[in-house]
Amino acid sequence: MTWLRLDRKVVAVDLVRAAVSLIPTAVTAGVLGLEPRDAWPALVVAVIGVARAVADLIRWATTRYRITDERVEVRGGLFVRGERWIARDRIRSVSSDARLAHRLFGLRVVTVGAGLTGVAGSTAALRIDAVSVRTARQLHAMLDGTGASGPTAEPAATGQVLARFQPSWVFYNVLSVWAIFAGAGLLWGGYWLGKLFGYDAFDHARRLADSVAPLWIVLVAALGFTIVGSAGLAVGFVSAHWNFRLTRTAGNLRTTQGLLRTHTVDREEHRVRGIQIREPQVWRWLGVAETTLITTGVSLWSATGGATILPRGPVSVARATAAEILGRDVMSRPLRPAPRAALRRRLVKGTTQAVVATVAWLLLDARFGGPLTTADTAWLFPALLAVATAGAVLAYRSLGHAVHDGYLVVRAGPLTHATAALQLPAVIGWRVRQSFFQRRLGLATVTASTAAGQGSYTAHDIAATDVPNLVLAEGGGELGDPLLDRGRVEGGVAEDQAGRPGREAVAADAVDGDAPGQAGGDHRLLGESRREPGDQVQAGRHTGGPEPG
Amino acid sequence: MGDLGLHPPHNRVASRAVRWWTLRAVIGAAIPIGAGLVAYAVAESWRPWLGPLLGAATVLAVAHAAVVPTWRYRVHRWEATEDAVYALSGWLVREWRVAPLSRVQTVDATRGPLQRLLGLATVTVTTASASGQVQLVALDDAEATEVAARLTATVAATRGDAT
Repeated sequence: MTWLRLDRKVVAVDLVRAAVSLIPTAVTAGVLGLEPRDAWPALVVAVIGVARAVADLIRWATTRYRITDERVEVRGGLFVRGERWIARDRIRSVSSDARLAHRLFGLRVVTVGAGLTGVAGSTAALRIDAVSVRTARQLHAMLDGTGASGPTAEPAATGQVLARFQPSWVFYNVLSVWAIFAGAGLLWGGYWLGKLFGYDAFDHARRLADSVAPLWIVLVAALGFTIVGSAGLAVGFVSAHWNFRLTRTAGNLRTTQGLLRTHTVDREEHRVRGIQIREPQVWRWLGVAETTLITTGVSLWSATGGATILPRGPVSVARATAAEILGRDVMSRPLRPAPRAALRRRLVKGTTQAVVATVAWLLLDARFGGPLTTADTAWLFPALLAVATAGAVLAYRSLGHAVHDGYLVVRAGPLTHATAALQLPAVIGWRVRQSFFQRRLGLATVTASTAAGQGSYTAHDIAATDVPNLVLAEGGGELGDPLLDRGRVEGGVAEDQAGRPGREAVAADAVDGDAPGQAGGDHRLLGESRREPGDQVQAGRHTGGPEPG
Repeated sequence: MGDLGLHPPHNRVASRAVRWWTLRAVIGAAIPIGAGLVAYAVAESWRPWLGPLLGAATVLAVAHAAVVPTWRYRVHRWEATEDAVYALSGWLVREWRVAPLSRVQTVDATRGPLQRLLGLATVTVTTASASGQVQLVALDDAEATEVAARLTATVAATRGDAT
């Protein structure tokens, strides 16, 4: 293949950008008639805008890319020549992005990800900025190996739609403690925009608030910030997620979204190892949930695309989508709650922390003379204890673990209820930890290592007797076996009490796991009849939310 | 009550490990306590609180160096079979770690200066997971070399990208 240039229309985009950056100067000078001395912010904007457009033109002129059967290569640079290539079978994700200017000219910025999740900033292996929509489609087609060489590479625009934008989602994304900060930020931006045109909003507000009590000013300001911030978040969410669709296309999970700036990400479905659903504790009564894929080769931290496959939305949708992707509904089935001893451990820990914090505070106060009066100190310990106890109870209530259909499902987190379902065959190591107190209380913490997602998923404080069940419930290999080598067990504890039920459960799971395409209804029936011996299911502890399907 | 029903790995670490852990504990404690003594000699105004602090630290350090190494030696165990590496470590907090050889990425044998002095080595087995590392601490030098070679050979024979 020959080396190709970036699309010619990039020049047009740069010219438009340069022109747009001149607008503030034109307005301040031409319409408002300000002297250059007062309009310096607009001039700065203009200079930066034009300089960036010129730099981008140079980049366009020097960059070449080519796609061969084995690799994708990009090279360019005026003074420092750079060259980068990626083997095509190492491509893990392809995303294309278009700002408004790009869309007007039918251009897409294509980013090829190689899944170097461990290396900082290198998840985007290659960036081709920009090519035509048609070329972008061909580049997307590289991921599923159908080839980017031929003009016939037109991937099906539609696939199986797994989730679609709902207007009600806006509500879920406005609910955020960050709204007040977003509002403050927006108003601050507005203030500077006003300054740009010579209007001092702060001065205006101060004159208005001259005779009002400070308390009211704070309250009104907080309310104002929240309203403005919520509106800002709503606009931001709609503009980023408008027309959001999650589709399954030719072995890829594709998300498409965006109002003015569009963003499409393709990720290989066969690398999906599980799903994590996070529910912020504060909004759990409303059923707010965030959904991420547990997958190898896709960045966990990228805000758009990457592992995030659903925006914040109702937990029922999150669970239904997870069931669709995983082929079985493991996220809405009940988990085994942690034993009461786990609550005791957390309460003791919380109380100890409260005592230590109180003593430390009082000592520092006595030494350096803090702001506390004697009456205040009487409240210090009860207040700290209340917070610690509430934290302990919340943390305890979120704990849970289970093995469902060959998936390890664990849930934890005092502030954010994070439920992760991880394929057992993707587990590449176990870690069992038991502290002195855990040993006394009959508890243990089991961590499953994996190459995907955050690298490890932990079942905190499960009953010690459950450990063999968990590490033996391996959906394929004999990973847990060395831990329970029955030939050498001293005292034979593992053999009779714990080992057997685990093995049987695995057998049942294996049978079930062979039929991934079953409908959701069947799974519920199977789930009811296939509970493991000794599994206490408490309906009240089930995280609730309507059943999907 | 807290019995996990997990079988302990087969091999103990080298008995010289006790000496290694003791040396490390002594050196690790000697540096901050030494710095504290210097401060005690120099800054007169600190003495009222630094004195008791140093005394307490010394008592703790001596107790730590006297008890923990032996305790560790009783807990620490390891095993490398044809399928997996398996290690138990810790003293107050016990930790069992297992990694299947089919998922191992690298095998390293490292020897620090103190370990070289005592003829010890540590074998580190890493997997594709950031948290999946298994360390066989303080093995006999010759044994560590043999284990590392055996593990490397097994890993090399395994197909796939181990994720």
